[in-house]
Amino acid sequence: MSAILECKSLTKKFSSLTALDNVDLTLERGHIIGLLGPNGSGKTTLIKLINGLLVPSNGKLLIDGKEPGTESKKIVSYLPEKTYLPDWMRVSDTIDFFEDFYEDFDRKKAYDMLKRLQLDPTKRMKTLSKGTKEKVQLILVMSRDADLYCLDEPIGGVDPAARDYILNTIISNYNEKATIIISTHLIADVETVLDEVIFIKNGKITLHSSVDDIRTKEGKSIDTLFREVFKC
Amino acid sequence: MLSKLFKHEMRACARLLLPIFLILILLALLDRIVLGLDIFDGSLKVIPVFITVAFIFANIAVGFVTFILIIVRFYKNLISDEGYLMFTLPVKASQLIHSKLIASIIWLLSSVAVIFGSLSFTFGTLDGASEFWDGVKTSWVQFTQEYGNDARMFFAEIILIIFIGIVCSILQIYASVAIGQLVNGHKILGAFGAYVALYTIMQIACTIALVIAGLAFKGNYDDLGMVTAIVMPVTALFTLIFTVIFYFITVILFNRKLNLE
Amino acid sequence: MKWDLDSERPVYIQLIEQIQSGIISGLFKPGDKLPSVRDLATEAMVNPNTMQKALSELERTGLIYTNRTSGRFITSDEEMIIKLKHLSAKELVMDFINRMKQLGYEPEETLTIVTGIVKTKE
Repeated sequence: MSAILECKSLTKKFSSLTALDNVDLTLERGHIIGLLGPNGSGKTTLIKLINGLLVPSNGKLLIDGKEPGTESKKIVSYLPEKTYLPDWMRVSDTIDFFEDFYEDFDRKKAYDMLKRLQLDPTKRMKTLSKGTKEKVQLILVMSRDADLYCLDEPIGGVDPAARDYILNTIISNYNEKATIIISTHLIADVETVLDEVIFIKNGKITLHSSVDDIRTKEGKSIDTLFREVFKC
Repeated sequence: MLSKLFKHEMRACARLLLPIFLILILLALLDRIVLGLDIFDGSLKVIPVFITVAFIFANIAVGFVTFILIIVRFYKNLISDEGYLMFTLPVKASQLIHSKLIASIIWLLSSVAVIFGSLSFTFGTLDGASEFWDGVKTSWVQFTQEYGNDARMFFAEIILIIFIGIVCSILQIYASVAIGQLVNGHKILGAFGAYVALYTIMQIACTIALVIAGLAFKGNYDDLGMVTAIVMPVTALFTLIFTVIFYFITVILFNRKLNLE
Repeated sequence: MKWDLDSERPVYIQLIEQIQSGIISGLFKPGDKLPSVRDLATEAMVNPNTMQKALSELERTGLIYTNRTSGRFITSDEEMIIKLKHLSAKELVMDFINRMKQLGYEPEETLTIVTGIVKTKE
């Protein structure tokens, strides 16, 4: 199987700003990868490009050898930072919606996860707290059998117990043909779940290495290294 | 995929529109009953008047709300946070537009039908009503006799122009939203500005085209002939051209220049 | 099993150590079947690839073996386990002696202190 993501000289400019600058990146399948960088580093731009929400200014981006489009969207599962589900829908409606449009959606898995987190499927999205909405979205995204998962701040707004559950879900969802990209600020919490990390700064990739290689080489945690590298 | 998008679109609009249609129908029923009763005397006459006025306003409101809903729905579902959901579905941007366009046309026509139906139902049996309809029939007969084929062409063209006009208006709104979302932080303002700009351009272009066509075809037409042979076809053609332009503006901007958040 | 991982050292090395401790202390008995990689990884809250790496290393040393159809098992070789136990003990003691040296205590003094404490504990 080909690499799940390939970026070749990928560049994205917005009038005066270069958000991504000649990025070369290859991600193999079967990894959980941390995309780490400060705000404005180009993280969100890269994720949007992967999901076809932006078009490259220059260079190429290939997902499983295809350019972003209808075909790539079938195999990419995206969890944005915001609440993107219509607030008038019930949780059960959102499950029906995902099942309707995504062939790889597992309805039973979604309902199992709802039950485990004690979430009521009959509730409307607008009645849920922010943290609960995020849990619902995560359940929908992880109930798909995708080849590439893009999770943007998946544990940001949730309590520690839910955080553990989410990380457990991510680990147990692991399979050799899929890759999970996690973009987050909460590095310390997810460090052991990752096997690779990417540091991104000013639109360029400054580091792409395995967690253990970094710990062996630097003798410190990724979190510590990050703070050093991105010191203000 | 298109049918699924269409189904969801219809459902989302039905949530708001069906209750409103129902209220209008109930008001129609109420007003008809109230107008049929003859028991209001003196100051109580305020009641039927009030109900009738409310009913008329309700009709206007239904038309208004349907129109506003089409605009708001397009913006909310594609440009606000929900856009992250819709544009990452494995569908083409054009399919998103098609599903909303078709649903919008259906709901718009439905609202017209409901308004027309409720007005006929409530006022149709009143004393003046049958005289009104007799008058309309007489005018129609006179009109067709005087102008023959031209009259039929006239009405056919009117219907066509109205339909193209509806589609054009909807796509004009869509294109305005597509242009407006390019402006960071002021997407709604941008949409309004774009709408005004598009409207102005369209009016100017259409006027110019009509003037040119009028000058070019200095034929032997009487007034209605001129209208059916030149004014209406040119208007229809122009509206059609702009409809296509608005469509492509929307599709191309969504495909290449999507600017969510 | 309680997994205690610090953030500075490579994860897979710590996983190897913790599994070894588990085997030595008898938490994992000789011949016991190990949970799947995914279950272990979920329990330890680590990446499955990292857990796999640790298990592969343990397999290389013979502490764990894989039966293609039935899964992973702890070795039944009790001698190997006892050897490992001794080795771990020795490492612990060496480490302790060195740390005491850093405090300023020579090995002879360290021995006296240890003997004293052990005697009082009895």
